[in-house]
Amino acid sequence: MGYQFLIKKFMQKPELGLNVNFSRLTAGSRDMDIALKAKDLAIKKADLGTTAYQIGEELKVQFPKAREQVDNIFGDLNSVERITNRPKGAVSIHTKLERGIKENKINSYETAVKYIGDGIGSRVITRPLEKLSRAQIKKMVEELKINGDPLTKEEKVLLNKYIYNNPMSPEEADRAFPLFEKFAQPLIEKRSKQVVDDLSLSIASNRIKKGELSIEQIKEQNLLSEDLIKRLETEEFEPLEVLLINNYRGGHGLPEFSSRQIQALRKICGSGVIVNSRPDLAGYNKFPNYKYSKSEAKEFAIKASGYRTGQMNIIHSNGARGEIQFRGPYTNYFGEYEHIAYDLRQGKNTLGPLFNDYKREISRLSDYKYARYNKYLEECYNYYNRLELGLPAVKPKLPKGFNKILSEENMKKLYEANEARLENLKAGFSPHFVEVA
Amino acid sequence: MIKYDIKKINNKHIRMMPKKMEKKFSEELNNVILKMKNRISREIPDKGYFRNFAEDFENKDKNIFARAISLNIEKDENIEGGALLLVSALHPSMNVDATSMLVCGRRDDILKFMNKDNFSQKVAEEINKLSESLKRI
Repeated sequence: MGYQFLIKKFMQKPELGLNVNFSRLTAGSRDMDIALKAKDLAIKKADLGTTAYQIGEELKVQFPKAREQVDNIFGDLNSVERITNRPKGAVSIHTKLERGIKENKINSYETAVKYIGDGIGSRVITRPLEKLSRAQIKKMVEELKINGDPLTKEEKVLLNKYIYNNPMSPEEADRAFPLFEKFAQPLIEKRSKQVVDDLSLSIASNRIKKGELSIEQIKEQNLLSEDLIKRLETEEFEPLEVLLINNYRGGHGLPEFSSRQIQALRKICGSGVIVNSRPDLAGYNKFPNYKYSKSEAKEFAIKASGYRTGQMNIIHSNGARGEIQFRGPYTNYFGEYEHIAYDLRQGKNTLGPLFNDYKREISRLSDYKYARYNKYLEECYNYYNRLELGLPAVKPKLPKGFNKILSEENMKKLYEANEARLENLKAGFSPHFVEVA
Repeated sequence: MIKYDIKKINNKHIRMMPKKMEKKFSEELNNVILKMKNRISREIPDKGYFRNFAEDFENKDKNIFARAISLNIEKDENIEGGALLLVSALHPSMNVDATSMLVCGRRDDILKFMNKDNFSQKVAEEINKLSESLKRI
């Protein structure tokens, strides 16, 4: 037995806008009506599914050029392992449009398209670094300077304990993490240097093409390093417009891009490009009146699951809106199944029957235990990220008091079994969309 | 994908200000701009190390989706003596902020930019963009 998603016959693109019939708006409904105001102001009706389907069809048309653009920018870089691209599917667009309508963000077909910011999704997976030897780590610790000063003896001991995953109190870990972040900065930058360089050049090319910036201004304002300016003068780059940058990470997680790299990107993007960031355990220095107490900082830190990715909302040269994510191969794979617990807690039930036992266990967790479980997931992210950076890593164990079904190993097994099941279902499956009169 | 549970914002995280002390958004913004101009003149040297610094205020404007607004100076990590002037909006959950750059350069470049007639208007426009961005989180 399969499922059929029926949609109404394809309707013409509305020209003036969409008005929502809020009385029929129910979360998750598949037949939410939206009133379409035509040019003559006569009210026509179409369902949201049709709009989602239409946007999905347009994305399919825009997809080849957008994919080519991402491949042209990052495809030849030695540090890039692989790139995946996909246009957003109609069901996913539908879910997102529902949210946009409820937020009163969508009042025309164009704003609906704009709201689907990640219409074309790309992932750039960068290679892991080689494993560091003890001697290399020792040298890095010896040479580490913070604000121009070498570490004290006590700081070195603390940092080494953190690097080698030695047991330490939460207070010690909080003190060690900022040192660890500084220590790991060169590794983070080594892994993502090529990606950030070529991304910066594509952003610069776009701004030059739009007349916002010249090479002279880039030189005067030191917006790019000398070697990049030289490349900009001698090579051709695919222009790319960036709208928003997110550099997600957990409380004790390292980001995909270092603060120095984010700053370099911010400079070449110019004003108007937004960068979202997370507080670290020391609190916000940007908001001096909103500093966290230690307990508050910890509370926030364990709420997040440690989700980590460098992420950008962009506009492709053919006008398609897209999202590029930058990750390492191990955190990328873990991310495929890590989000299951979060989705379940949010009430999304898109998982197959294989996950029934897992779902039951997740729904039984108290808020306190769920926070502890999230901490475990964050530790898993950090473990895989350490492997990507060539750092010593110890695989975290599921804390006592949790059913084994919730372990990372079991989540991976379930995910892989479900993927195999979906592959089997695809064989001989009838079309997802059947047009009806 | 963002994984913050904003439903669980604890009231203890909300810092309220007595009503009589409330100021208009534009007044608060101009006040912070003035403070930052003074601090930039004083704290950014021609050469050498300086600390990042910021001035913020609690947002009371219901049209702006943010707990607090801040103007902040970030030391340029690639150029000695360089700095970035940023504007940030803090999400009501306090778990994330959105930031955009207003200008970058040396102390005098930044002050020159801040002394332009339309500076506060430009900052207000950026804050609106940040607010819209935070609503989507």
